[in-house]
Amino acid sequence: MSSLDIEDVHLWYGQFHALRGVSLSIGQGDFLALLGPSGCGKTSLLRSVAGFVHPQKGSIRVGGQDVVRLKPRERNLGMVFQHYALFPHMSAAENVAFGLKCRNVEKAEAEERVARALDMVGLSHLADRKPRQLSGGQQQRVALARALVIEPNVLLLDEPLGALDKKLRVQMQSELKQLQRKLGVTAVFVTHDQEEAMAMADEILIMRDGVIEQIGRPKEIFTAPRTSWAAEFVGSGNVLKGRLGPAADGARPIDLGPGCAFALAEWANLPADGEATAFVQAEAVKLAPANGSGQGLEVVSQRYLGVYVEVQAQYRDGVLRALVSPEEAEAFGVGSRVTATAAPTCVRPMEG
Amino acid sequence: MIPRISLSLWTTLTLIFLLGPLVIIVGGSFTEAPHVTFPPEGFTLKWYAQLMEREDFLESFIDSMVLAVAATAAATILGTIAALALARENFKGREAFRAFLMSPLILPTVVTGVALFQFIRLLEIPSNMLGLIIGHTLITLPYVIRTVGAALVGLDKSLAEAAEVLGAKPARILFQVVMPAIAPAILVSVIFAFIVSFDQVTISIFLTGPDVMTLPIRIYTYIEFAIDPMIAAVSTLLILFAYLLVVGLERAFGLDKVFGKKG
Ligand SMILES: Nc1ncnc2c1ncn2[C@@H]1O[C@H](COP(=O)(O)OP(=O)(O)OP(=O)(O)O)[C@@H](O)[C@H]1O
Ligand SMILES: [Mg+2]
Repeated sequence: MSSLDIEDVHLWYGQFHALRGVSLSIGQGDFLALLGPSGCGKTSLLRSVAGFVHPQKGSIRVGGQDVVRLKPRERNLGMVFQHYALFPHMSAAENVAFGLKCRNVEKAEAEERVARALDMVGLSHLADRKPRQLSGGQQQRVALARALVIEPNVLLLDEPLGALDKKLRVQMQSELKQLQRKLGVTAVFVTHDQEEAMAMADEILIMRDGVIEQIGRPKEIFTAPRTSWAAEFVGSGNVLKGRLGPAADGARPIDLGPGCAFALAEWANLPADGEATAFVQAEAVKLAPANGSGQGLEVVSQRYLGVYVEVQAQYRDGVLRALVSPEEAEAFGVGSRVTATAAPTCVRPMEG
Repeated sequence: MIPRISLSLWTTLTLIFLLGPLVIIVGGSFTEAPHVTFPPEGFTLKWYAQLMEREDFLESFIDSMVLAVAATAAATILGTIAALALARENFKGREAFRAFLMSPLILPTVVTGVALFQFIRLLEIPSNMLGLIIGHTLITLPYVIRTVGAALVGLDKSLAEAAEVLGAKPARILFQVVMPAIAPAILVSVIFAFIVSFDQVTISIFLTGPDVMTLPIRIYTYIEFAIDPMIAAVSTLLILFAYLLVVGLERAFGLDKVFGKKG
């Protein structure tokens, strides 16, 4: 179990510059989620760490040791693939034992470790089954046991839950997270799914076209995306662009046209007077019925999301999204007029 | 939609068409007439008895077996190695190499035969059997490369990668991960290679000599003089042999597995 430090990694596939100066550092036992749209380089980064591709520039250190020149088999990593990559002709137990055989672990000890690993993922009773006799979730667990039994320095997971259905995925998310925490193994987890990243990671890294767009704690990413691209990508709220007014009550209002009353509590780094971009989470937007017809914003749609209702209202520059409780939503039917505001501390400045 | 009746009718007609010659041959081998007749006139085993006295046919059968086994073994080993090489990504001139190895399939067999004849004369290879083995290996090689190559293309690359991160060296990856995964394809190519070799006439004509004569050539030379029911008897025994071969494989490995139906 080691820390992982990546510094200014560049990777070219022929002419194509796939990783363009990626740096990150995760501590021992941390869980990092790599999040980003398809083709942004998540797999490439993971494969660079694993040693399947060779960055032309930069350094990758596992537990302080530079591994760039090491072969994959010399790096002592655990890896879980999207389609598990279980060896089809071997039983679950033989799959798990494979890494120990490669390490010439003595037979009795190997058997014991395999048994423990299978027990850990709750599959002791299926040790003799071949992969094709196991369900997707069970195969996933075998793959996990196989990767963990060698006590890897870092566990790499490339969309490991991508092939499972929604319900099983949620269950595996929490199992995986618990296991990772219990073993204290450093983990890097690739996913497309914002919610999955949010649910599992200590830290989330958002990638875009081979560069890091933002790295931070899940809460930070969801409440204060650094750029409007990141905000759009995580999709947790509204990007507001407007002219800043003079400070009042410790906050500076941002002009978004009639019906909107938003102000920033934090403006130290913004120009004294001028255009600013800010972010507000959909949950933080407060709606109220507008007095007088023709006033405020028109509600254009409502969408039930389970616990919340998403209300969309037309404002000067576009559509404002707010999440409200189903009871509140009754007052904001489609066609009704509302005003919108948020606590100034929830309106966060962004880098355009 | 095609009505059921007409579908089963077509199936029956196709089967009759395909199996017709076999039935005629098998039936003809029991006829009492001095030429192949169908339906057989009477019933006799005399053609089989006559065949049993022909040691030349037995010798040819043994020659063909030795040749087919040797050529199949050589082609399977070489072809598997070639297919593994062709499956590598970083391989300059891969397409040229592939085309070269597949060329026996594209060239008219007569041309390959003539070329082999010259080649083996030039090398002064002393034994006709050795020459035949070389020739048969050459022409069965493409079947092995095709079949094993297709299996390698279909092989999930992450299997080898998974083995590699787990600490496996290349030899272990090859023998414990890749080979077991492509074993069914290798078995299929063994069958193909064996049949192609056992059946081969054109190449063999150029390479047989006084010390070896393969069974197809023996039959071929014999029917130049006479088509009598003894040939039907040979053919019947060959059909039986092929049938037993397939049933044996089915028993030993399960043909479903061989042809990759199950994982
Ligand atoms: N072997 C390769 N040769 C050339 N280009 C490649 C290769 N592998 C990946 N790429 C390119 O590099 C970019 C990043 O690919 P990568 O697989 O890392 O994306 P990703 O973020 O994992 O995407 P996804 O979410 O779809 O898995 C893509 O544009 C891809 O086309
Ligand atoms: Mg990927």
